[in-house]
Amino acid sequence: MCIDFYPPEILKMITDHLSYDDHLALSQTCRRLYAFSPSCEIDTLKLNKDYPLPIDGDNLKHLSSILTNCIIDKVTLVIGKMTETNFDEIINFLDTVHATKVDFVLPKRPNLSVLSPLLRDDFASRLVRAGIEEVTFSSYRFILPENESKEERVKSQFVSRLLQRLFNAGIKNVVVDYDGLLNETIHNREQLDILLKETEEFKKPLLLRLNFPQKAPHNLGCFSEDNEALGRRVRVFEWKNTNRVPWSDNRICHSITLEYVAKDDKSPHNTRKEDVRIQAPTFRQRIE
Amino acid sequence: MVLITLVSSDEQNFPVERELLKQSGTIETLIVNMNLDDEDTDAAAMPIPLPNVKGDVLEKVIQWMEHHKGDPVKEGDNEDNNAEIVVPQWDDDFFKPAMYGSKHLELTVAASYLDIKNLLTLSCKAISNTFKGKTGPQIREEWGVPNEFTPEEEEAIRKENEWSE
Repeated sequence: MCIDFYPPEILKMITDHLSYDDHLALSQTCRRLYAFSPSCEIDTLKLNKDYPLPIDGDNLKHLSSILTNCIIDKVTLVIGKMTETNFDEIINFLDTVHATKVDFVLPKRPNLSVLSPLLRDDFASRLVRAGIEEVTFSSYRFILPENESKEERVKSQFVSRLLQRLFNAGIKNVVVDYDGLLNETIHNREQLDILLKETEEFKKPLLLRLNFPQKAPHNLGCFSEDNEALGRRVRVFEWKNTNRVPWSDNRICHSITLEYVAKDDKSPHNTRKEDVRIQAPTFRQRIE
Repeated sequence: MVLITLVSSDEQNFPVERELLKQSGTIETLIVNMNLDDEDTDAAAMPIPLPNVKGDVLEKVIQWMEHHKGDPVKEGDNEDNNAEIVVPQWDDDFFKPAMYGSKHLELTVAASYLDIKNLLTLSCKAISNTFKGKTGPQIREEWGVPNEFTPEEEEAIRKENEWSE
């Protein structure tokens, strides 16, 4: 007797009750349940917002074909070893589904080579050309080896370089989970101030939100101060992450929002009139 | 008490209380459409053939309906998938003896065919409970599923999913 004798409609009801981990374990019991094995094509696809689709073979092409003319506002992509290889297809996919937001979920304990797609010269510009306006970097636990200062230094440069490229290319909003691009062990003012100071050098209107998990200190406001000369204001929000993602529990997050408001007409920020508002509890940017 | 006779695929007759059959969307529709409710017509005496359900399975279905007589009947498919469904102890004991065999499959398929939503939901939930916290190989062993994957395929699957470990 095999579980896979169950008709698809009943299997669907059974798997609806399962968590992502249990779903994954079940999919590895036999061929039919391993729905997205490298050699098979998509036959019946149930799109569940909590269930990721590995990009193998022609899966992404088939998915693009199925979703032609659909609009998917936000696409979540898990960065892995195949991301670099699939980069062109990923960009085309984002374009096809008219996505405006993309969330890059970083793998646990990656080496920097896995992150190479993010360091491509054309990474930011191609995202913008595909219509992406907001980029999020998140991870449940993104940890690089702790005692390797060289890695840390490279990583620090990596973050600011990446942010610079994104903003310069025209990405309007960047959201970074503190556990995502930054090391969860560096919850101290010096480290954060270095990063925030680097954002001053971008000389562009930007909206950067840093999300901290609950364990972060409560007095986040003192991590960095407003910069009157530049027009930078630092705001602190507390909000509950209610997005149901398989690799993360709901968490109370603190959010630091950098809000740039140009002060005078000669400001480099005043090259265009624009008023961008995004609903609380996210953030607001005002450029006049 | 009005009795309606159900006939299984292996020609067994089961006289069932009319009230019980309200739990089955399929049979209820049939009764209403064919006026089987009307005691003044010949139709009332007409047995209902169920060519997709074997006698032993139909017996289990009736047993389940008898226990759940009077329970509210679910309508529509607007089930909240996020709601946690708990399988009551009686139902757990009812499903357990046949859980890993073809009988539970047949019972679940019959619940689907007869459109008995509560039975189908609880049956599926009971099955999904057997998977919770288990690995693929553990599920295989428990359900007696042969391993179809080659070691190379298993390694490829492991690598593909290692990001979620």
